[in-house]
Amino acid sequence: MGDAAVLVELGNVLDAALNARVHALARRVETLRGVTAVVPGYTTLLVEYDPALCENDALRYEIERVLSADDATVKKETRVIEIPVRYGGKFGPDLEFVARHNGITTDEVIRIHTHETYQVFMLGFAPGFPYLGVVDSRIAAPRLETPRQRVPAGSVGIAGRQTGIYPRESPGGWRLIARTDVKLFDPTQEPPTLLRAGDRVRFVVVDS
Amino acid sequence: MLQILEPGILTTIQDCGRNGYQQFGVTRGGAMDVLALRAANALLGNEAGDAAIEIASSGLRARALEKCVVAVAGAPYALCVHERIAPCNAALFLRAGEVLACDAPAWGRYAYLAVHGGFDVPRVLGSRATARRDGFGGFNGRALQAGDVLRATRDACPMERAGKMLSEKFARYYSSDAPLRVIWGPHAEFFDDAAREEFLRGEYHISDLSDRMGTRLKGAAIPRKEDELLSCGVTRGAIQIPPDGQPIVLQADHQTAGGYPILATVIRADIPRLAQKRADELVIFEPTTMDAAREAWRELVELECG
Repeated sequence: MGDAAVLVELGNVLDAALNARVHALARRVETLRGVTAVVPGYTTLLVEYDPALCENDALRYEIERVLSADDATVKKETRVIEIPVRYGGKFGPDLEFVARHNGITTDEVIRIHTHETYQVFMLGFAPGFPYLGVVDSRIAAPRLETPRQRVPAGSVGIAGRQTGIYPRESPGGWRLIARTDVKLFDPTQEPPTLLRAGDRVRFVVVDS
Repeated sequence: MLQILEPGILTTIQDCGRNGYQQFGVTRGGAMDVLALRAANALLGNEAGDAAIEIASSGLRARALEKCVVAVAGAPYALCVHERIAPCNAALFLRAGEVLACDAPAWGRYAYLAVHGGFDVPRVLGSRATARRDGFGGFNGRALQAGDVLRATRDACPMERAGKMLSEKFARYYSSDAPLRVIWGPHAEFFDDAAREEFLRGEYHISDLSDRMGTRLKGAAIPRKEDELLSCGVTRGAIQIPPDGQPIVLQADHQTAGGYPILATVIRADIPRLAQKRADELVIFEPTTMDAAREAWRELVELECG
């Protein structure tokens, strides 16, 4: 991608195992000489580099070498992080829509949404915004036709078979089902986000 | 020490941006025109990436609270020091109490006002760049306001720098109407040869919706496959093609990932020239190679040294 970045494509389907390979690759590539940033996507890894420190061809060669090395040697523990949430009402104005859309009750939506342990496929959109998957098809829902101008910080939304959390107030088109008080982004901390790509996340109901 | 009297619109502290935090969704940010930032710093003997004030199209008025040498480089703003006309792309001596006024430039958008050692604002996530959308970095995470007082990291007033000027070559870089050079890809599968030809033949005009996130272009729509793309990391200069076919070139404050296919990417050496273009100005594109891009960047870095 241009003269200071390489996009590594590992596939083109939404898949947790494939995505986990992206994160494993990211950990190894970010230490290569000249690499200034790695940005995991669903199935891709963007590698930005300083052309003064490494050449495009040489970097591609290095990445190929990392890719062909045995992944099994890197056994990294996966963190599971619990996010306390309140569902429905003012915390989740679209909970009823998601239930109606799928022909189930709101309680069933909550049960299904909290049952799954999601993978953080990537962070993006805004600092600390996690793209989580894969959402059970029984609670999948389309985006809003017209995005909201203001989605409150901490809102938990569903878009298709993804779920995510808005770290700060922003415009947004996901269907909002719940809200959390947890702080997802703090620029004074290192790392600045609660979640990292590759983590696993579970939603836990707290009493209102 | 400078006190802002009239801040202009969207005047911010910028440096070369933050490295390594895009994986957390944090934009790189930094100067829209890195060449002009580096040139302003070079005039004062600063580090290339020291933090400066980015003046964005609407001017600035600031008072020196003590004697200092400042440098302004980039779009040729009409400069006055205490009512005396002063040259742009030069280092200027300000006596205590004197007012530096920067008014409408003849062309371009961005200029950088640098002080000795750069402005002393806290580093946040490794950079002093203002991340305005997210409210951190720079001066309290926001655009400058009247009354703000900004300090330099170094106290000394480098008198020997006053009067130093950038070479003519610096301004000539911007006056070139040569095509912007691009490297194709990565999403070749979304575009056929006809789309690529359309893009190279097309004359594009800068949309007035352009901002620090992206330069939006108006012109021949680029046909693309309808397919969905899974979001992937994106880099500055990448040319996204949304469903309406009107290209968007990602700029300093671009989101870290995007879901629109990327037809090509503008090489680093041509991004400053693009960033300085105003609404309705014309741009055309031509493909280039990695080797030519490297040579172009080398030449660019020489420009800042005069």
